[in-house]
Amino acid sequence: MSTKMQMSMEVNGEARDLVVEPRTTLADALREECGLTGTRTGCEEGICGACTVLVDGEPVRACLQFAVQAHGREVTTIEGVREWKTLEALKAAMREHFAVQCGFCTSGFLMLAAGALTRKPDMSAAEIAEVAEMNLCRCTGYQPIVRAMQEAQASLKVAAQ
Amino acid sequence: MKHVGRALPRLDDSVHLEGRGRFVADIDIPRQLHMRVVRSNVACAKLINVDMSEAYHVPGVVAILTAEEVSHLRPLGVRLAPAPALDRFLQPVLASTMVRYVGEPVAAVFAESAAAAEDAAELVGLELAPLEAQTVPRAVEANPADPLRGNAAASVTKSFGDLNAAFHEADRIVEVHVTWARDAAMPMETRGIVADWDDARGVLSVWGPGRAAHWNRDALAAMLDLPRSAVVWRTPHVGGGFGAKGELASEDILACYGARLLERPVKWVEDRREHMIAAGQARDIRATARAAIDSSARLLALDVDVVIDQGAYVRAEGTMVADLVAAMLPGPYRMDALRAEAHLRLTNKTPAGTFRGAGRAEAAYIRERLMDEIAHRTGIDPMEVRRRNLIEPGAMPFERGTEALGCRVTLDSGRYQSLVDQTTRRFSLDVIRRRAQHRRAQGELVGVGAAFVVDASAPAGYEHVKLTVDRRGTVEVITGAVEEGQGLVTLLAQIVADIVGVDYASVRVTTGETVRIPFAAGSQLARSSVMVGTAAQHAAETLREKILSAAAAMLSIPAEKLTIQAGRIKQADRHFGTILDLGDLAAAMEPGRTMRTGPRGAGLEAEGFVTTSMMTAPYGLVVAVTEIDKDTGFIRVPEVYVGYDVGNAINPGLVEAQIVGGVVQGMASALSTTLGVTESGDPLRVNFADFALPTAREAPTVHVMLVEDSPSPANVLGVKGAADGGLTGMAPAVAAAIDDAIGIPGFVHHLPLTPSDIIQQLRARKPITFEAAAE
Repeated sequence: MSTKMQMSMEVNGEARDLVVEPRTTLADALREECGLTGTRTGCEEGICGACTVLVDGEPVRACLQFAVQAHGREVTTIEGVREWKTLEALKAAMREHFAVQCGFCTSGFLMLAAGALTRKPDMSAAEIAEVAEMNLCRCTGYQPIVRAMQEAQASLKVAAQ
Repeated sequence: MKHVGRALPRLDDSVHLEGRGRFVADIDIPRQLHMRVVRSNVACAKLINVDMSEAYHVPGVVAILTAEEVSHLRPLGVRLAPAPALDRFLQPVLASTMVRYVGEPVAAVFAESAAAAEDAAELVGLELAPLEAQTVPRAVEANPADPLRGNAAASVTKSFGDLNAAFHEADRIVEVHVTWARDAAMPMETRGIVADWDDARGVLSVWGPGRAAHWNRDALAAMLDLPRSAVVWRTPHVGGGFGAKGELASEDILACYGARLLERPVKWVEDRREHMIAAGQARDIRATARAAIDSSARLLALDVDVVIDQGAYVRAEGTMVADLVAAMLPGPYRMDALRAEAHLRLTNKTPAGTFRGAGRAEAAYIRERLMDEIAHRTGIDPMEVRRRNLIEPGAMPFERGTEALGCRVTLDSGRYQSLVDQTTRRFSLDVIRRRAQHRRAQGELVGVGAAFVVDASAPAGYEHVKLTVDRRGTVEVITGAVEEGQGLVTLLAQIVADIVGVDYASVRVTTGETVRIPFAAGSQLARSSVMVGTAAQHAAETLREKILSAAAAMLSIPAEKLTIQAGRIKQADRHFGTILDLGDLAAAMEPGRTMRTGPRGAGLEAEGFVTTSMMTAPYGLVVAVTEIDKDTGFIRVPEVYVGYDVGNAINPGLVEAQIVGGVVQGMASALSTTLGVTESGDPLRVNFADFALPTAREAPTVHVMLVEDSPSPANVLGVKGAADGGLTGMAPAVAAAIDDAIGIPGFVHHLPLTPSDIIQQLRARKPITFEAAAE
């Protein structure tokens, strides 16, 4: 249990060499070893999605991966992205629609939506709603979050034209 | 620019959108220890021995506390409606001779890392002699396994009028029996606390979700035998409360006591499983309600008996829920007599706490189910039955004749019938009902149901707000109430900005810190906007007056010729020209050699106090549409329509957000989220896979109409509070909509209603034939 492992990953564009227990989750490594607390842990069993981060561009539950599984990979957290148009569009739309209340699920939803919109910018409204179904929020009732995701997509389309 | 009344963006969004929020789990203090609580895994047992020998071998373990070490700490008392009779039902900090629910704290492990604490906690051996658990709230007789205390913790009775006469005169008596299973607030962030004892200064600093930060400070001080000034409570970001957070619990006391004892900071963050077995739970009621009505379906009297399964102990919330259920049962309807009794009964389940809409949601469910039954029995349209009984505007403010939380229940203002009319028109509810009828005629199971609710939002009480202005001209609002996501920071900034004459985005709002403000009552029900908002208004008025008179003295211009715009003092009748910056004025008012103003005191500060004697009562109509799948029994709620009057809406965007979120929580409570135990008292649901929180897939489209017809006369802002709106009426509205969809009035008398309930009913009605199955 206490045997530690060496690993390295790129977090938000910066190389990180960590020594962690094999059982350390990626979420805990990001929060405790890297000080990136914007990745939240709400259930630690992969249901709520508050810990969603991007690993090699794909949204993943950081609580369901061991940190060592991210060895050699690129990890992006909510803190790491500046001037990423997709994320900025999402943030603006979330603000507009009162899609933030307590803020605990917010980073997870943003990483989820940004990852999904990057992979498939032309998702249908139904597909966007399906993406939103993956994470949990207890405050907003989802309506504002789904609307914000749809609006962000629309504004990105306009910007791309 | 005027701020109040506009749906301005929230001021703290950026922090969360950038992941910079600082929740309790994000706080680390050098040298901190991590606490892990060892919990009973048996619902009812004699505790014979706690074996710590193996646990102490785990590297990094510093200490393990059991009941023996904390025997001098008294059980945590009741914050709301305390009574000496409740003392013997209070929860001990750690179990000593008996454990009474799965999840009850038995020991606390303190270690160098969270992982070490968890490893060690698993190795603590509990020697338990299981006894028969009581999982159904029985009558008064004690559990034979636990004979030292009875099961009847408390009873609350509210009554007025001559009940017997009313029932005697009645043309008809209508009765319903309803139950609502256990549920819980279930915020996305679990509970936690960080405590740091500074032995040099003799100060205990605590970071935790304190909806009653000041009460927690005082309770901790008393418990740890410290003066009040030796405890400082700070509230970090709170990842949702909804009633589950902010009351002191055993874990909080253990962390604080541990920090002082071990002279090291202590951090405790529970995991989701712990939250689901240890945090306060809610609802879990069974009720019998009888109405006496006259020949035109007018209510003469209500006679209601409610049993609340309190679980194993009474916690800080005391009899709050029982009190509110009984007091709010009459709701918005006229009647001559009432008898409402609510009984807290003990079982071997996790203790009950509160969940948004506490007591009022239960009362609305019981009452509105009864109203639907009256409609069915009399053959009168359900909305018409309600309309006939609604209290008319001329009778406002209306003395309800009951008390809740020590405060007279007064319906402060309201145009109830008008709200029904407006909501009906705005959403074409008649068309929606006809469409459902039409779809039913085509063989679909579609229904519409409604509930009229009145909330007790801000009971009478006090609140205190401080304002300061610094040399930069930054206005700070200080309140003991807390931001839990409801938007308190933004709406206080809006209120103050308009009066003081600054941009709301430049106003800093400090919440939930005991050191910055000596007294506050905190956030519960929906009182923050009402009470704190009003205190902020008073403080802002005082500050404005102070600014203008100081500026007048400095500039030798009469105060009435001055005004403040965008943080600058100007002559009121000039379009251009700043005379004085707010910051410069604040600097001039600071004590010391540069102080240039008169005797008004040191610094540019102001305070606002408010004491109200009348509660506020927002009200609304909630209409739900349900669609039921014939094959699976799956119940969908595609649309919800809400007409709600919050008095004046300080920020309609925030109010609507509260209502939409409340609707989804209420829907979940009616259909899916439930906690329960097996016959032996083992929890059935301990993770998010089993506790079915709705996702965006299940969430209905919520249509909200805010009505600002009846500003509250109880406060100068005319606000009523909004936090419970949406939730309160959802359970009865969904219940009625399901009845309507399957065409059986009164079918829904138990919540949550599951697909299997539906399937059973459909099969009973129409035996499955080969042809039907093949469809």
